[in-house]
Order: sequence, then structure tokens, then C-alpha cells
Amino acid sequence: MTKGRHPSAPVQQSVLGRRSLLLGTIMGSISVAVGSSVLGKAGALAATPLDETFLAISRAITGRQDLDPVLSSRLCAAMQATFPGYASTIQALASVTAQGGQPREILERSGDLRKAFLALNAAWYTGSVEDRTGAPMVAYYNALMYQPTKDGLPVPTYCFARPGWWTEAPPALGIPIHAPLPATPPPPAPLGVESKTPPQSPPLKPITPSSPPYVPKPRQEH
Amino acid sequence: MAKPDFSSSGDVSADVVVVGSGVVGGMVANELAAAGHSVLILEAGLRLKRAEYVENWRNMSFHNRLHSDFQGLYPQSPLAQAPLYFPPNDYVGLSGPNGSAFKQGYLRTVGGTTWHWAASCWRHLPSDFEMKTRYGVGRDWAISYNELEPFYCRAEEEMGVSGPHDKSLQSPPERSRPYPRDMIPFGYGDRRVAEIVNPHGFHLVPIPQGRSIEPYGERPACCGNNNCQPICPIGAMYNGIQHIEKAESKGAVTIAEAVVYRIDTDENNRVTAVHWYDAHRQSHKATGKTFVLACNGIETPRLLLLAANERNPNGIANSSDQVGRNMMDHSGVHASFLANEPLWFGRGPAQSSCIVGPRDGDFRREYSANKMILNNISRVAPATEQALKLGLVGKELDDEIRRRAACGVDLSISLEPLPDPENRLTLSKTRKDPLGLACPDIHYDVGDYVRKGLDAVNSQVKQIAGLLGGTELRITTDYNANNHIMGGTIMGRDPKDSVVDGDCRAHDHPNLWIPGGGAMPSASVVNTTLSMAALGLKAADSIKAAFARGQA
Repeated sequence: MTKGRHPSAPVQQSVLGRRSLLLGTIMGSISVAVGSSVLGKAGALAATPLDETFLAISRAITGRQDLDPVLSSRLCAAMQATFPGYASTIQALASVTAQGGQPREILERSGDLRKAFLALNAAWYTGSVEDRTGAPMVAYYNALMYQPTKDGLPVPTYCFARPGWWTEAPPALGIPIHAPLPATPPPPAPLGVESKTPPQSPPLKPITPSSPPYVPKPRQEH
Repeated sequence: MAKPDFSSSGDVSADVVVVGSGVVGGMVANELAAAGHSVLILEAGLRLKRAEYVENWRNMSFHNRLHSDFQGLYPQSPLAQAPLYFPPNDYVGLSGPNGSAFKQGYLRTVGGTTWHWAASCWRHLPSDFEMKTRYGVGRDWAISYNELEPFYCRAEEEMGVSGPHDKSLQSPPERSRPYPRDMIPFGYGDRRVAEIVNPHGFHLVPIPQGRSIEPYGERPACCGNNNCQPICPIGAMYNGIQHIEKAESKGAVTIAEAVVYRIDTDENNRVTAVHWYDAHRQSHKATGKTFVLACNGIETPRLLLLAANERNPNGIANSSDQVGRNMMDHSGVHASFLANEPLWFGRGPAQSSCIVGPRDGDFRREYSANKMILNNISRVAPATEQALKLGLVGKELDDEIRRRAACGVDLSISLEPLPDPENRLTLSKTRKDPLGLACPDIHYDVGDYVRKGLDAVNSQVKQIAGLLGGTELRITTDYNANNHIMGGTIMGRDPKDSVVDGDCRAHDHPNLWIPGGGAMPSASVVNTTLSMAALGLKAADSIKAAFARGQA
């Protein structure tokens, strides 16, 4: 794997907030498993017009204005290295995002480009260009998936606070406990099972033990 | 300080030659070096630094991390393969009704597999040592719980285990000394689940762990970065490398990339030397007075079989034909569901609490016990994968990730296979490693005892999910491995049906000790490492006594 490093840039810190600032340079680790020529281009921070377009469509589909331009250029390079002809995909996506709107609205009018939008969005959330073994990755700490829980959960490998911090009350959920889903979600990957996801049962009906009687306590937010 | 004696050709002699540099090899080496003996440690794999593993993990693709590619971040010596699953390298050939349940993840690297364990430090129960006597199934150990108990204490002290000082939370409570540190304090999720399920007999207790929230010796405090598996970034979790370094500070010498393949024996069947290939495929010889094989549950029986010689045509230590038989692991399943309240697993160390109510009972005459680890591994990655597959974007996506990460529960359930001679490791007739040495093949069937135990598990899981208002309850329908490899060099009193005695000394070879998981005649349902370490310390005492008697 070809590795590249760059120091923390101010733009990155604006995404990650004060706690990450305190973490200092450790969050600067970004790598990309693509050819060195591509890496060289991104590493030099030379934003091309295509990089600018890629950043714009990325902001639109993620709904985040504070995406890191350096990371964006690296992801743009990795997507091009992985998917032949991705430059034209970027232009096509740009024609949809140009009209503005929320991410869901963009997706709803995306037609044949829906899959491409979801793939781009997924790459930002996972930090990897695809969900497959060894897919090129550009971000670990900075992958957007950690943002929705950053007040409650550490990015694994990074220390959150002093030893024993986890005994303190977690944050309030702050959103409804249930929400309508567009489909039945696939089974989650079991944690710590080192293989492809094993076969899993369909959703099962739980059993509430009848004795001793179970009296649920009111749910408490902390 | 006694040191091994190297010749100009690269051969070496030492009082004690230890093959394998994991937790057991490291602890034995440290004990014997401390006793003034010269110690040589031979390790097949590479020696790398913690920071490289951390970097490799962070640089791994999302898919690999989501699916727990705990082997992939540890570079392998090209001459000493170990299992890989992304993609599979099929180094271990698996067959039988449950061959797929034996996909073990063990490391061949200096420090061994505890680089990527989760530091659960359980003891077997007293009853686990007497399965045949108490329940009429399986085998009894050659030693009792009481005989191993002092070594459990010492192993806990060596590894700096934090466990509950409250007796009602101990499993088992039979202890002669307290844990070196009190339990790692529960996070909110553990507290809340205990409050809900314990009135129903599930008995959620803290997992005894090889880490602490205050420094322990030279080891820093755990800061809960939730990455015990596959690498603790700061060395707050016990790893076998800590005892390798301690042994080295007392004069022991470790040679990495040294693949042992041959074992010489004399007319009294004493081991006189082992031979290894170095990284350049050159062969060298290590002579010694005493030999210890500690290469974990697959490589040790493989080596014993590979090293068959004229006097031991079925393999070293194998006059009983039991080497490689009785292979066991805690074949398990996973269950997941969404609780109807946020529990926030993923705060603190990756393992924290465990349901041990079904760990023992008269039902063990009929079917397997189980334990259920309430996984405290961050659920952000699986939540993200699920939410992305729902086609969500923007705030809806963020909310779905947050909801699933905060409310998600993952139970890792371990069952207890019985020792079955047909569950057997043999040498492949067709597959060779790069040195031309036969790769291991393993035939595995979990057995009806486990299958019946799974019926009980399914019912218990549904009740736990019910108590927590669970939705989307799913249980895996195939068994997974848990890397707790046991049985292949089984312990017993009778040399006709076992490989080692209660000190893990080979029945066939008076100066060969084979401590570790392979010796364990019953699996129990708990992680094996503390028992392996205790057996290693007991073997070390036995070796010291043999030296004192002039018999080593």
C-alpha cells in the first residue's frame, strides 16, 4: 500500500472541532492505495477544476459544507483510479447538484445517477472508495461515519478522555428512538467474527419472560 | 545472567529452548531466565513494533475493518504462514460438518496472538476440571482446580488482571488471592443491561481483564480507545510481548523468523536438539537440556507430527496417537438486536461484561453450557453499513447511524464442544508451505452436545432481547471460530490416551514440556488465555524442579 501523510491543515480542524484539535497531529494520517502518480498529484494539494467540481458535488450530496478539500482531492483521485471514466461521472453528477437542494432532494431527482450519488456518499462516510476487501481508502479518523456519534463514542484507537471516562453518563440520543425505514435493513456484520458475514436468521420475535414480572422503568435520557 | 551460547555457524545451545514466543512461551522463558537458566526463544514469525500494527489498521479498507480482518494488519514472514481471510489463503485446510467453524485467527509473530486478543482473563470453574466425574461427559483433567488455582493467581498477577473484588460477581468465586486490581468499572450500557436482565437469572458480571485503569508496573492505564482487537494502540492491554521483553532483560535471546521443523531424540527418548530454518532457508540447530513447545493449538501439534523421526514414527510425543486429536474451540454464534433505548456500547475497553448464568448446571449432562459476551465494540461501522444500504443520505443517514450505534447490541455467544478424537488435525498430503513443510488440515464437527446447547442459547437470547425491547433480532445460523484452540496435545494421567501429564510434560519425553491450550481436556465456555498462562507457569515450576533434581 502506498502511503501518504500530510500535516493537519486548518480546514480539517474546522470539520473536526475542538476535541480533535487537541489531538494534534495524530489525525493527519491519511493514506491512499492508488498509484503514486495519482497520490503525487493529490499530495501536492494542486486543486484542479475537476477537484473543485468533485468537492462541490460532495458537499451537495453529504449536506456538509465543511468537507476537507485535501481529503476531497485524495478521494477524487482514488475514485478515478478505481472507476474508469469517473471524470465524466463527476460532470454528470454536477449537472444534478447544480440546481441545489437538500441531499434527499438531490437523490430524488437523480434518476439513473442515484447509484453513483449513493456510492460517492458512501465513500465519504466509510473513507473507502467501495465496500469490498482491500478497496482503496483515503480516510480513517476523518471518515464521516464517526461524525453522528462524536459526542458519545471515540473513533477506535483514539483516546477520548481520561481513564475511566466511560463510567460517566452518555449523551442524550436527541432524536426519536424509532424512525420509518424505506426497507428492511440487511443484518449487521457480527463484531469480531473474522470472515465474510455468516448467514443470519430473519428477524426473530423476542420472548419476554413472564416470571418474575418485568416492569420496564421509564427510559431515562442523560 | 546466563545466556545462550552461539557458535560461528549460527547453531546455539542453551539450558532451555522455547519454541514459540506468545504468552505461554514468554512467561515460561521469563520464569526460567529469572531462575538463572540460559534461555533461547525461537519464533517462526516476524518481529515488528506496535506502532506499525496501529498504522496498518488505520490504513485498512473499511470493508476489512467492518468484517474484523484482525490477521491482515500483522505482516507475515513469507516462510511462516498463518491464516488470512481477506482473501482466504487456505493455509489451514478445513473439512467435516463444521469445518467452516474452525477458521482460526492466530498470529505467528514475536509476542503471539495476544497482540489481537481482547484480554479476557477467565478461570475455568472447578467443575470444568471434572466433566466426566460430575456430568458423565468429556474428560477429567489430570489436575484439579485447586492444584491449578495458585498458578491462576500468579498468571493474574503477571498479566495485571482487573477483576471484581465483590465475590458475588466472581466466576468462579473460589479464589485464594484477590485480583491484583478491582474490576474495570462498568459503563452505562453494562449497568443498564445488568439492571434489566439480572433479576431473571442471567447474571451479567464484569469480565476479568488484562488491563487496568491505573498504571500496572510499566504498563499505562487503559484510556478506553475501544480498539483492544486488533491492537491496543498504547500497550495498556497485556500482550505476550511484555513477557518476551522481560525474559530478554534477564538474558533470554529471541530469534525471529526461525521455523522449527525437526526434533532430535536420543536412545532414552530425551529431546537433544531442534532444527530451524532461518529467513534465508538455512538450517540451524539448537541443543539444550530442556525443551518447551508453545506454538498455540494448531502449530504445536503440526510441529510434533512434522518432526516424526525413526524412534517416534507417528510424531514426537505421539505414542498415544492423540497428537492432533480432540481439537476444540468455543464454537459460537452472534446475536444482534436494537434495544428500545440507547445503551451506547463502544465506550471504554472493547470487552466489559458477560452473562454467565448458563455457565454451569446439571444440564451439562445433556447439553453445552454457554456464556454471552455483551460486546462493547463500537457499533458505528456496522450501523453505517446498514444505514448506507438503506439508501439514506444527509440528516436521515446521520440519524440512522446514531440510532443504530447507540441502541445496537451484539452478543458473542460461546459454546463448549466435548473432546472428540475424530476432530483431528493432520498433515496435508497435498499442500505445503513455502519451506516444503506440510500445511495443517483439520476435520471438525461441533457435535450434538453443542447443537443441543444452541437450542438453549436461542431461547435465552430471545428472552434477553425481549427484556430490552429488542427489534431486528437476528442470530447467526452458522458457528464462528473464537480462536480458543484446545485439545491437540491433550492432558491426562494415562500415557496411553493422552499426550502430556498435569505439568504439561510429555509422557514420551522426560525433558519436553508442551504447555498451553492444546493440553486442555475440557473447553469450558471461557476464553483460554489465562488457563494457558497458568499451565505455562505450572510447567515452568516443574522444569525448575527437574533442574533442581538434575533431571531436566
